[in-house]
Amino acid sequence: MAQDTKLVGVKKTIAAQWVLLGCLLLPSLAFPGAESELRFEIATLPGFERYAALLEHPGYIGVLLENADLRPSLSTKLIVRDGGREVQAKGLIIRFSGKSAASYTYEAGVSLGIGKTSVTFPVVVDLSGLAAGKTIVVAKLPLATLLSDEKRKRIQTKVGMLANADAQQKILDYLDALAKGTDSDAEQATLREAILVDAYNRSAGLAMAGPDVGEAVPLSEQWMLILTLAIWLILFPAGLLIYRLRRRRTR
Amino acid sequence: MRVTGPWKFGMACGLIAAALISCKLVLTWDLAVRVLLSPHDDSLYVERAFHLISGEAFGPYDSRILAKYPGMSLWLATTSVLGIPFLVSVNTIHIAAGLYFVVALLKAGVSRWVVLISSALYLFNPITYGNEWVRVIREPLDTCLLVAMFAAFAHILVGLGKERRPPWAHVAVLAVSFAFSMMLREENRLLWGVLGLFALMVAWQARMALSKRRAIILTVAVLAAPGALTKVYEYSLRRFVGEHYGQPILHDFSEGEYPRFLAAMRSIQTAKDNRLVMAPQEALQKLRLEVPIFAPVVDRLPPPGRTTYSCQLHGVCSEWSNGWMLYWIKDSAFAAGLTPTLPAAQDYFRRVRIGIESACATGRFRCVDEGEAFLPPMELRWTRAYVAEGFRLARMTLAPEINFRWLGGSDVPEEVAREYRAITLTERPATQSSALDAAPARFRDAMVRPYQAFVALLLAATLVAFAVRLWIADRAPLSGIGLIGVLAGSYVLLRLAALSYVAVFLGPFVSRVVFATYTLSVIIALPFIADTVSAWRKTQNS
Repeated sequence: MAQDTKLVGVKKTIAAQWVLLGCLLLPSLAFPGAESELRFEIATLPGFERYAALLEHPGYIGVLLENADLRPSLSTKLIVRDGGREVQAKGLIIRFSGKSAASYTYEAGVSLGIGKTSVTFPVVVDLSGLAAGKTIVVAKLPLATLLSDEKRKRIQTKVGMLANADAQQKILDYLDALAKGTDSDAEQATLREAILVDAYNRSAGLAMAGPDVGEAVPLSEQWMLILTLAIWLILFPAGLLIYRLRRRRTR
Repeated sequence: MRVTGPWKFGMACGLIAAALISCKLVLTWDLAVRVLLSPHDDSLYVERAFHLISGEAFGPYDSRILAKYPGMSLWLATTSVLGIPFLVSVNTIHIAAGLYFVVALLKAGVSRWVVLISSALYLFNPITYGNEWVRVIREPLDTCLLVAMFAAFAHILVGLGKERRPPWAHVAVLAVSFAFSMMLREENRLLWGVLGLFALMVAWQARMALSKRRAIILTVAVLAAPGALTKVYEYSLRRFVGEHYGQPILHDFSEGEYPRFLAAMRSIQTAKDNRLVMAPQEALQKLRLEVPIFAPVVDRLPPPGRTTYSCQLHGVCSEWSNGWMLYWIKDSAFAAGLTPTLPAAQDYFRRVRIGIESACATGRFRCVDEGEAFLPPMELRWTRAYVAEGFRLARMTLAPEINFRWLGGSDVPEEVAREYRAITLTERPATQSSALDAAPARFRDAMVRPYQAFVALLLAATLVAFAVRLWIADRAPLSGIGLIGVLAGSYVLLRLAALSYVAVFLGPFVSRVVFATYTLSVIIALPFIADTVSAWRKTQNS
């Protein structure tokens, strides 16, 4: 039982990254037959078909992953913009740009860290094979050909580990519990609202918990304390010692 | 034969002491060993002792078997073989160490009233009827050994120049208690410093009281006897572990490959910069991908959360704090079948460390050197934390929290309960009524607060006396009791400083970590204050 809990916990964290990280890793995946495209195939649970509309709102996907304890980023808060159509984690931005049949198109951007300069490239998520349990993600990255075979292999392995069935099932269970089997447009909006309300309720707990004890405090905020300690633990005893020695000499 | 005044007084004191001991025994007769399933503490010691007397070394190897020094298990095995119940053994050595100290105080010429009050404070110390005292943990035994050790110090120092016979019996007590303490608790290695200081004191005192040759012999003896016995004892234990488990490691958290692996892991730079977190989730996930042999361990680690001990006890909720994670990693490696034996465990953690170092060297990880020991080196930026932990420990040293509340019985597997019975020789389990409802329990509870308040004031006064005694030391040379007080005070402060450093990275300690120094302080406080007052008067008169 305890082992299962541990396993689920680890998978939570791993799977937490599959939607966002999947997109982030796209540039590294080779697309057979087209050198400038990277292609990524994910074995997907068919149940996600019911929630395909959420793909128009990658921001909501990020929030729901956090709600399901599958944090897309362990170190950064997600920033959601434009009604959930854009999501940012650190220097990485994903923005929904359109839909054609079962294909969802995104603009993915990576900040270069120099001012606001960033590299953007299109990403397409093809759900036409979802009923058969397959999702295809294609990124049209200009420099894809520069990636070595070893690098591609490593990323393939990573992605294989990240998109595991347990994590997908967890997300699906969460969505099912929230949606209670609804699928019309109006109810999709209700679902998105439920995701946000759930996130709000969880954030109340976070606010109460506060930051972890033991977080690093900048040295600049501790100079007065260090100075005080130096006075009492070094200067004061040294002063006493000098006083004693001088008094002794006087005697 | 005519009984003179001092003899009458002595007999009266003896009778009062006997009455106090009887009262103490009546007051604690209902206490029984608490049977707990605590795989890194109580049940670990009991299981190892059980295997030891069964001729199976410490038992089959697992990730916890060398998590603590073996001293406690050796004590349990010995008392079990001798047919002495565990609590009887601890209480006997507690009373014996106290009496031994009291005799030293009397020999030093401390007022009998002062000695009597000190004895009463020592005897009725609430620690000795709290929950921790009846658990099978190291602190009660460590407390008694420390008092015995300082009593031997006192006998040797006080007897210098007064007694004709060399104090070999006291040197023997010192050597045995020192050597055993060294293999009981890991931080007891600080006692090496105390032994060194004591040898200096002996050399200084003996120079004036004895011939040069005898002074040298005594100084060398008080240093060499405990030192040599400790090393022989340690060597024997290492050899024993080496023969049965393949490598001479006594404590695999601070020796061998595991601390090196931890040092390599914490060198990985992540967004999480928390002194209590050596293995953040981000680093673990990176390791999972870059060092595949570590992936099965990461997969088995429990997730952090708000319901974890780490969150509830240390306030670290988004991660597991070091107080748990460092154990989880070893346990998970064992559970994954990666560390079935001690040599295999050493080899595994070595390979993971090399994997990390290689990833650092090739730039796959961004790494910063954070030392090679179990704990990272102290940095200025942790000053505030160090001061906070120091204050917390100082408060504990003055008035430790003692747990009297009955926590309820835990479900202990029958096999473990059987081992407890066989090792502690306790048939009668502790019950709720014995802990709360009985008259002795009510009386004990009523005594705790007044006792702790009085002793806190006494110890604060002792601290002032400590400073005053050092200030006037050149005008009123330190007596035997003065020297013992300074030695004890130095040890308390040194230990406080060292434990504060450890707490910066492992999280706050519970009160029982100061039980030994608290008890020592209680018995030495009043005689030391009296000695300081007497020395102060002398300086005023002169």
